[in-house]
Amino acid sequence: MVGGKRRGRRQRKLMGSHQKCWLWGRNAVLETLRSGNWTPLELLVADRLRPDILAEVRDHAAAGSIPLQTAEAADLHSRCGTSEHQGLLARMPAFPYRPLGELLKQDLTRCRLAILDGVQDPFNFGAIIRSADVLAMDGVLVGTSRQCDVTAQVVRSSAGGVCHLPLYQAEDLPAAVAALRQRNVTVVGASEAATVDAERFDFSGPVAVVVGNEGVGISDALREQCDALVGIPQQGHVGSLNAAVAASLLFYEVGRQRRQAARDRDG
Amino acid sequence: MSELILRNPHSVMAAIRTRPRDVQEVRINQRTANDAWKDVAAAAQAAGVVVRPFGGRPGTAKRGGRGGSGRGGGGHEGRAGAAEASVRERDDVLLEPLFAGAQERPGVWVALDQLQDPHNLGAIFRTAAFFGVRGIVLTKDRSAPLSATAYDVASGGVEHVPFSLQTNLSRAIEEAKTSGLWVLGTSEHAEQDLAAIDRDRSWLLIIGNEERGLRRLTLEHCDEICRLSPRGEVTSLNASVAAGICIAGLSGAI
Repeated sequence: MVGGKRRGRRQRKLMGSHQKCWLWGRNAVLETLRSGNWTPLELLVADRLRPDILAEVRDHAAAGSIPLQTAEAADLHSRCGTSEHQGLLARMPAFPYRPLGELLKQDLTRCRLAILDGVQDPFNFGAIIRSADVLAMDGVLVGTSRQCDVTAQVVRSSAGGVCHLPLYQAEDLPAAVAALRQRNVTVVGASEAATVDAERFDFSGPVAVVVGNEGVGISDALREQCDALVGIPQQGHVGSLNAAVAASLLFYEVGRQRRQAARDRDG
Repeated sequence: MSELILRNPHSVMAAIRTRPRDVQEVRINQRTANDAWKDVAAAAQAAGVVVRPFGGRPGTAKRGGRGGSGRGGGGHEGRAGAAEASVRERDDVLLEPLFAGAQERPGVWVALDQLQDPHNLGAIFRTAAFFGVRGIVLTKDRSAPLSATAYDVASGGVEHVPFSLQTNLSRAIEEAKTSGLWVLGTSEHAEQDLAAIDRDRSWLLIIGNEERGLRRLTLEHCDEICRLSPRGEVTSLNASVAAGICIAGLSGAI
C-alpha cells in the first residue's frame, strides 16, 4: 500500500532538483509539518532523534499518510549534503504557490503586499519572506523570470516564514501589477534611481512594494507599471544596500506609517 | 597579519581605493572577467598593484615567481571566468579613537554581541557604510570572525567603517558611555518604538546574537530599549535586517 502511494507521488514535481529536494533541520521540517499546507513526500529521521521530536514527527506522518523511514545520521548527511540536518529530513514537492486569482479575490482596501521581480539569491529571498512576515506584510507575490525558487535554503533563511505568510506567483508580473492597480493598490518600486525618499512617501493606502533583481533592479516592463519609485537616502559616502535590507526598510516604513496613522486617528 | 582571498569585485575595489598597499595581487582572466572585475584590474594597475592572469586555458596560468604573498594561493587554476585578489586584513582600532568625536558631532556606532554568521556580519558592515556609521565594536570570542566571506558580503563596507575587536563587551559599553555615547538595545518587551528614540544624540546600538538576542546583562547596560515591530520575538528578524532598520532609523533615513 505504501509502495502504491509513493508511485503515485513520484509523478509530482520536486522542490529543486532530484538531489536538492531534501529539506533539513528540526525547526524547518517541523514548522512545515505543523503548517499543513506543504506536505512532504517522505520523511527521513536519524535513529538518534530525540524521542519527543520523533513522537511529533510520527503524529504528523500518520495524520498526513507520509512515509517515514529511519536511517543513520551519515545517510541523512549524504542526502541533504550538510551535517546541519539535526536528524530530520523531508523530501519536498515543488512549493505550492497560491495563484494570483486568490489574491485578487480578497478585499485589498488595506493591502500591504511585497512583489519580488527576480530576486535570485536564496538568502535574500528567504530573508525578505522572513521580514515581510515579521513586519506584518500581507503576503509576497513573485514572478517567474530570474526568480529564485523556494529551496531548502530559502525555507531556512525565512525562519518558517514560507509556512506562515501567503506566497503568490504570477507568470506575467506586469499584468498582475496592472490588475492590482485596477483595484486601487498603489504600486511602489524600490529603486536606487528613486525620485522620492521612502520616509516622504505616503504608504497609508493599499500598497504593494516591488523589489527588483539584485543586479539589474526592476525590469523595464514592470517599472513602467509602478506609480512611484522610492528609495532610501544614503548617508555615508559609499556603497549600496543589500536587497533584503532595502526591502525590509520599506516594509518597516509601511508599518511605521500605518501605526502612526492609527495613533493619529485614535487621538 | 593574515591574507584574505576576496572574490567580490566591489570588496576588492574598495580595498584598492582605501589601502592599495595592502592589496597584494589581483588575479584575473581578462577573457572571461565581467566589467566590474575589469575595472578592478585597471584600478589595481593604476595603483601599482600586481595584476596577474588567472584560470582560463588549463596550463597557461602559471603562479611561480611570486614574492611575499605566501600562503593561500594554490588550487585556483583552471576555473575559467573567475577572478580574485589577495588582500591583507584591515587593522582594527582602539576604543578611544573609535568613539572619538561623539560629543562634538552626533552619530551612530554599532556593537555586535557574539554574532555567529559571517553573512550577517558582512551585511551589517555594508549597511553601516551606506548610512555612515562611525564605528563597529566586535566581540572576539564565540563570534564570527571578519573572514573573506564577511568582506565579500560587505561589498566594500569593511573598508569604510572603522572597527574594534574586544574581548569584554561590557567594558566597551562603559567606555562608550564615558565617551559620550548613549546605549540602545532592542527587545520585543520594549514599550517604545524605534521612531521615539531621540536622533540628536550619539548612539551605540547593540545587536545581539542570532539565537538568543541580547543577554540580560547587556540589556541592563542600555540607556534605552526600543522595539522594531509590535509583534514577534527579538530574534524574529534576521540580525542584519534588525541592525539595518535600527541604523536607518537612528540615521534619520526612515
